[in-house]
Amino acid sequence: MYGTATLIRSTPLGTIDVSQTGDRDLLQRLLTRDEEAFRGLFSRYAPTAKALALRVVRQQHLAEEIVQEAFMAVWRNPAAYEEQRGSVKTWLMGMVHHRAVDAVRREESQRRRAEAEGAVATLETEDHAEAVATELGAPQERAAIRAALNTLPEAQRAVLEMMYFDGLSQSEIAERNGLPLGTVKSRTLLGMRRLRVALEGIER
Amino acid sequence: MTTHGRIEELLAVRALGGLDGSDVETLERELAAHGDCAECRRLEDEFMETAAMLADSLTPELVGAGMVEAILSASPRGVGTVVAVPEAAEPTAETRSDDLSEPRRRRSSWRTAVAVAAAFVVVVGGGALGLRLSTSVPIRSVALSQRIVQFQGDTGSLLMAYTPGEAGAVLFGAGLPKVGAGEVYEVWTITGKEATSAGCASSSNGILHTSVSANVGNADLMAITIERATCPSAPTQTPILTAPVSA
Repeated sequence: MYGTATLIRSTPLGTIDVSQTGDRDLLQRLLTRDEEAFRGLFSRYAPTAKALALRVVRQQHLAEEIVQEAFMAVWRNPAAYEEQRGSVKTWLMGMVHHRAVDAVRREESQRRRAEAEGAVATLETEDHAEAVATELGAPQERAAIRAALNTLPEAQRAVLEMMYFDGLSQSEIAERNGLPLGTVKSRTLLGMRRLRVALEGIER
Repeated sequence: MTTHGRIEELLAVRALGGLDGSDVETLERELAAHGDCAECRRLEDEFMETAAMLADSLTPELVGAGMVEAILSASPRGVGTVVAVPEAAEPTAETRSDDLSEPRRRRSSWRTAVAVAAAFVVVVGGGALGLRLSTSVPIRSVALSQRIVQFQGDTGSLLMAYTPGEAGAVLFGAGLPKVGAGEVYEVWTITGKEATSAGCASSSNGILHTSVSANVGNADLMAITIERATCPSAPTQTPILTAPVSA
């Protein structure tokens, strides 16, 4: 039915295997416009970047735009990465998160303006049919990070999640939860300190 | 609270993206007043690292199959469009200036292939409606040197555009058997009895739109299988589609 070929185990020839290459090596290769290195970096981090963007903006299309913008920035200017300031993953996720939070705040601002004008805001709803999650990445690491997050006192964890995953500012969290701003800040600091300790030992 | 204490608190908030209002200026002022502070940088880097790890608590999401090629085919200096111009179009000043660079030559080849594939999508009425070849359809963007092959299989339609003798091909298809969670389409070049992976692509709706960097013209046969997302180096499943290649 499918022709005469018999599929057998073989060594890939058409592509370069970059799965074992370190992030910083891949980024270094981007300086010479190495497309395979970019593909390697993309396949390694784009699914997590998409998950992060989607969690913050809650819109498939916008999340894809954000991921594309962030990786476009990497492709265009890999020299922007400062090795002494942390891992490539931290740099990448920082870019994605920054863009996602910006998008959420722009949208919130537009929504408020629309409401002030008496208009009915129509926000795109999450497309669950398209939001197909996969088991890419490292499930053990994911479980360990979730477990570390769950070791935080509820009040601290909630502030961290609202800030990072919902894109809320410290002032918005204070306002929505009826908390003094100082309390939000101190819970953030305590939560981040505790989380940092809890995450020690997990591969970064 | 000490200056360092205030800075640490605001750095923690900033790492999570929550800093706003007058605290943005306050932090900048405090940092500036503090001078070259290695401890402040260390704190900021640690908080950023911690924040980034939160992303790993999320279940990864599928990314549009064409995104990586769209990025690579975009101008490195931000000029022009992501999708290629048809071959008949005059080259821009930028493409001319980069003609001597190997990466640019490869991208140029890709651009043509993408244009060919895009032309097919347009002329057959959109990938989601099912792809089919028709001799009555004018395909103005296809140069004589380029080849289009149609895959055969039980379900779905898939076309591949490539230029014999050059690396790279673009695949466009619709109505394919859907991949499940944690699965991808894997593209194989088959020469004799040897199958070689040309890459994997994800999709959530039976539409495959991807490109491969392999020189497919050297193959006897192309095949598509559905594999685990780990993208194995040898096929583990029966092909869902195959196409003979004649370079």
